[in-house]
Amino acid sequence: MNYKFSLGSYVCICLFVTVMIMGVFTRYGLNEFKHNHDKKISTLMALNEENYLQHKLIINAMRSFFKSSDRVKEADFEIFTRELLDDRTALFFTMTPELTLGYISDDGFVADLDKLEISLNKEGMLSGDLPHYQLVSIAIDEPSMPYLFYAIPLDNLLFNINKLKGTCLKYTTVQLSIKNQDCARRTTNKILAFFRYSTDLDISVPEYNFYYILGIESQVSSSKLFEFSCILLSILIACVLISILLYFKLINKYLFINIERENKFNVAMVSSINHEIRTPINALLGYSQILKDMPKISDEHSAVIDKMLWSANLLYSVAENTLNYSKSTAGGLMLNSTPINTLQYMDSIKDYYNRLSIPADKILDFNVSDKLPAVISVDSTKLFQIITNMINNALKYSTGKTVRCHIDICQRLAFHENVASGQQQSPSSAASSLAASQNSRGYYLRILIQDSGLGMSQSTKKLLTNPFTVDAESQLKQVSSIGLGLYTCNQLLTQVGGKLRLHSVKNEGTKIMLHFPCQFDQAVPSQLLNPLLLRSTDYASMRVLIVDDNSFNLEVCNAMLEDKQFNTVCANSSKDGLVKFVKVEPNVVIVDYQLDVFNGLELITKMKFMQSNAQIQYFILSANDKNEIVDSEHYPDVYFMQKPFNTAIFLSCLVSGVASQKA
Amino acid sequence: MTSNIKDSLKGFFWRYSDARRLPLYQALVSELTNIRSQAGLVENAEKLNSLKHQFKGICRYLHLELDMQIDAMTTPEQLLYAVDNMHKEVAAIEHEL
Repeated sequence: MNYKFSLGSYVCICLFVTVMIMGVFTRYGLNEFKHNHDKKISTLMALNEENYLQHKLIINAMRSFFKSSDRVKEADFEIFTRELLDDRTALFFTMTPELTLGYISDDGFVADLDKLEISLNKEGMLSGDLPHYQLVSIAIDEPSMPYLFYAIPLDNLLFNINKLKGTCLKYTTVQLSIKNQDCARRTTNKILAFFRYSTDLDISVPEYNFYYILGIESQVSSSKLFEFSCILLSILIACVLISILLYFKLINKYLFINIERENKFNVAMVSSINHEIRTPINALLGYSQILKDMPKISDEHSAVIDKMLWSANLLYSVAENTLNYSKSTAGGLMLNSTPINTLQYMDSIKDYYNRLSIPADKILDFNVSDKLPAVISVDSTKLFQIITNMINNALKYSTGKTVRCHIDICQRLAFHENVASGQQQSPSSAASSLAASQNSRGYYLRILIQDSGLGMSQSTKKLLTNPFTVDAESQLKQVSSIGLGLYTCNQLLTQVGGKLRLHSVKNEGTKIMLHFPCQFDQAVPSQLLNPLLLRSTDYASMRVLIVDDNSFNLEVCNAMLEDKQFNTVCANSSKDGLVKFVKVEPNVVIVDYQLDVFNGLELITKMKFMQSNAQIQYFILSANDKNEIVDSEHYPDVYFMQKPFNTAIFLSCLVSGVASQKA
Repeated sequence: MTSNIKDSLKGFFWRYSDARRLPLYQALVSELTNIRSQAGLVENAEKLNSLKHQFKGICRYLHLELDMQIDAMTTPEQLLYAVDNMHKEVAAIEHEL
């Protein structure tokens, strides 16, 4: 996963998202304010309409009054207009055809009519202007007074403009401009002024000569603004908090990825260092052995060489443990089982200790049960490592003289069922493995390592689960150790489905019981260790065809087999291999997987078509693991061996194959 | 590292009898020369992987722990460099065999 965290880009993204959210909410709030203002305009328009209707009703009533009466008397006019206008400050007056004043609804206003200017238009309609009044001219059916005027004081033309609370209303005509009380309370605050809305409505009613501008100005109340600001602030705080939380989450994720990468790097590093270290250790072991084998070595020098061998061996164990510790902490351990000749294998462990010359004051009693099958399938590398680790620990730390190791085989319930599926199995073990998985019982090599020392302290026992425990009480604290061996063996066994049990009694000694998973072919149960061994003379009668297009690999493989007295035939190409296959009729064919024309498996398929001898054993050699070879599972009768060619493994497989054929 | 390779090479050849050493040595030089010449003509990743595989196989026979270094190679030049080095080391021990 390519994941790069940048604080700058993160801040920018958070800022952008916060601004977006704030922007959306502010826009919504401002729209709400505008909507409130529009609602006030609608109310104002409704009030204005109602006011206009009232005037219209009054005018229509007067028109009907004159229409329904033959002759209207002045007293009737006064009574009717007084009743009609009630407490309104409007005025009705009539004009004679000579344009002199007729009746007037309130005599108190006669003086005001001195400034009345009247004119007659082309259509014969009379119109007039009177300062501070809006005049509406109405034609009536009264011959002596054909003109009626409805005079409304300009300041009363409108409805009560103080009706709309909290809103500044302005009424403007050519002659007059009026504001309500709220306009006087208008704030000068610049921030509040930003939340002020104003609209001018141009009102025009030509029928009654009404022309004026109605202005409305609404200010968002401070309480609403406070509410708006609080919500805005809350959103801002929420965004900041979420950003901080996300920041920590991303930082954690980033750190986690880094730690994971570092872990992988550390495992790779340890693995690389381990490989680098093992090469010189191998050289040290080799040179020490050469020295030891020299004819004229004194006893004194021989003792020094023994110590060198022992120390190099311990160093080798530490390197192996470190690698396995890294792999086990990364969960990368896996069983890679291959068939082995059990006796040869156990002999190799004995040889290992014979060659090493264990410390002078110690005795190793190595015992192998004769009930062990001749061939078992087991991860020989890990088994070797675990056994030698535990024996080395016992030799190194035990205060007793004798260390006993007894190995046998048992069948029992699986320790960890889920582990079995991850194991790589050899062809011959498939049947037993299947049977084992069906009844959850499997075969285990049981290794008991016992010493007669002072026993382990409680702190030392903790090394099983904590590799870096320091045992302050130990009498052997002068012996340096980081406790990786015990921990790694325990982890390794657990991960491959085995078990390590530790029983230590003070002053009596320590017993360690190891169960290591293995398989063996139950079809040959009676074949125990000794009867199955092939003799060198048997090898001489076997024709082995080796096919490899790499001349060096071919030469090495040939040299190794000739050393064991095999009758070998070499082919340096797949075509040459086929020709020699027909010509020599081999008992065993060893084929490199990567060949020139066909791959190893294809060549074996062709050979099988041509073979006359049904008992030919086929081996594939590859630098890769078996599971990396495509279609390998379709060749159960072909043995896969990893390069470099190993004679011991080859012989184990050969013995196993011969045993199967005999059965 | 150089001395490690040299030691491993010597350790490998000394395991065999005098009569076997020379044919083994010649086979090794011939294969290294072959890989070297092919590495100069690599055209695709498949061919490079094939040569890496061959080189890995040889190293394993020589007990050289170079799997990780070989797996990490991504260009023919890296392989060429490693094969050249190995060739020099092999040539250097010729007189000791």
